[in-house]
Amino acid sequence: MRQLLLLLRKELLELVRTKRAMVLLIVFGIFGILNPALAKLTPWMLSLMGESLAEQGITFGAITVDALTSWTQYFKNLMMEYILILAMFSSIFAQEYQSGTLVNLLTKGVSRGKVALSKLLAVQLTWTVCYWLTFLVTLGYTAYFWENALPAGIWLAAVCAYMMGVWLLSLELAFASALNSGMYALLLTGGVFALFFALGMLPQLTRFLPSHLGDGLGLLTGDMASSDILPALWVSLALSATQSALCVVGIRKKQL
Amino acid sequence: MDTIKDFLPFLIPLAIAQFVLLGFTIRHILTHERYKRGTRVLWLVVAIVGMEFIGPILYFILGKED
Amino acid sequence: MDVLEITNLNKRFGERTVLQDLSLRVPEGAIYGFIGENGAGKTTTMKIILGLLAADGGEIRICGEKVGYGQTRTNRFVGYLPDVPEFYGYLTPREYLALCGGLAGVSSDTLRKRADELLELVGLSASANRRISGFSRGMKQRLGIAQALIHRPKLLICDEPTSALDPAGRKDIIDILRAIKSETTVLFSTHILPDIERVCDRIGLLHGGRLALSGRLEEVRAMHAKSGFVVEFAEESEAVTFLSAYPGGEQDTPSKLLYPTGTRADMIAAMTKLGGMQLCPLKIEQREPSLESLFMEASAE
Repeated sequence: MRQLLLLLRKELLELVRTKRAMVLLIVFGIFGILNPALAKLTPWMLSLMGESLAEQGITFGAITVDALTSWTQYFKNLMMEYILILAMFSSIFAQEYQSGTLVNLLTKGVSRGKVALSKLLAVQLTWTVCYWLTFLVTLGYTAYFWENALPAGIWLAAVCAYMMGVWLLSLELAFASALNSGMYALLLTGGVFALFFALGMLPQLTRFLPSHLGDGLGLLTGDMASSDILPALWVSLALSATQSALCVVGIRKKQL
Repeated sequence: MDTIKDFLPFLIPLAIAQFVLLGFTIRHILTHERYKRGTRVLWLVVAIVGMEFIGPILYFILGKED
Repeated sequence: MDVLEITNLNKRFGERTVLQDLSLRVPEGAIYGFIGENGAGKTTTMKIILGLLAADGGEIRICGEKVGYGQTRTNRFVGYLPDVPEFYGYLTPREYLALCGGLAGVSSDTLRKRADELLELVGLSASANRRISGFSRGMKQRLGIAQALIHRPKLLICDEPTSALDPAGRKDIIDILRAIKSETTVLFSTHILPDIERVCDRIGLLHGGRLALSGRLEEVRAMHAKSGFVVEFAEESEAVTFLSAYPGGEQDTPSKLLYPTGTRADMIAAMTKLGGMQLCPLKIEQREPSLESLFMEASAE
């Protein structure tokens, strides 16, 4: 236990001292502000477009902007959050493998599993803080500008989107612990995501796929029932656990 | 569009966050000699052109040496 | 008691046999010089000892406990200094030692004191709170020794600790190794022979996957001792004069005479002769095998 805590502390110290923590917090804060700001800008942008469209004979009815518009932006911009956090942590293993920094620690009698576990914990902890920061900032603005800032279904949708991040990160770390290159880990994660996304073309499968956990907006509008997304949530939990175990296997098999 | 006043709650924190990030990135670029790839001029251009946040992120992921 | 016992160790990389029935013993308190040309398998042997590589056969015991691949229990007896130690640049030496010590199970109360003690020993006290990222190669090597010793290991394993350093840096490392001799047994690999002569009391020469030569340094020397003696003059003319007066030798270099079969009595006779001729040589000495010649001889077999 003491070893794990020491390793976790080292990982977190690394995040802070290499300035990654600060960059992530600022950027995820910016994401949080952008969602309601874009919602607020929607009528203006539509009116700009409207003028040219009106000439072609297309007209709009009155546009109402409300809390739902803000949350629509939130779910639309999730992909940026996933990409940023995945890019940030893609080299977390490769960096240590390439420089040989792990040798000193392992020859002190630390098991490799604990090294992998400390990295998994540090990464998921960072994701948790960053994701909910964006959520809270968006929520704060939404509540300030509009009524009904927390429409029914928002919590389930938000938790699902969060779990998609957990799934993607554990997938990336499973690749990362077995490879010497962060870039490959990132690309392979993208590849698996694309594969899942392609499977989603079959409508009967969609509700089981963790790659569609970011589509929870339908829960707010009433287009989706919770049973349309819950299976994917359980699948993502199971896959995250499996992938974390694979991450441990990966570092054990690694020739240092 | 309503008045600019409506956007102040967004603009002020956004501007602060972006300039903090930009200032911080430029300082980091100027105080470091070596980068994982690219040169000082390249990273300054990237950071400033992509200042709304893409530039600094690119630098921290691709250019920064530990 | 033997701190390290290696019995019939085998290791292949694909088709290439690196270690072939290697057996080696390091008794407690020794500074063991592990010699061999580049690629002889020194680093491989060390990595197997540390459980970082799997052996294809044979057995290793540290303080009587068996070493297994990927398993790190025996590492509590061992401190390891890799050939090029790498650290986390964002930590300070004190923080790094606290991390390593904590991981090795050193209790928190003794850890601080031990870290200060080691930083003092390796001469890094002044830089104890600076980030490691700005350290030179030599400073990293010294910090590497400190981290290897943090848990007071029974056996310190150093992989080529001096190879990448300048002469001043090499001397620092050798001095540190000499200073810790009373605390721990040392196994260190190198291909720099003068370093071995400066600190080691035992050597083992790895060649063709096994120990071609091993034992106490002086015993190895004595076993391979050559008869004969050498007389060296300042001038070539003096050498020629002496050779004609006292034959049986050959001109090794123009001013240096070698008497390959000369006995002790011959040497005394030569000295008397020198006195009688009023000749003063630069030096006259019994031939002693240099490590270099042993190395070349064993490697040629």
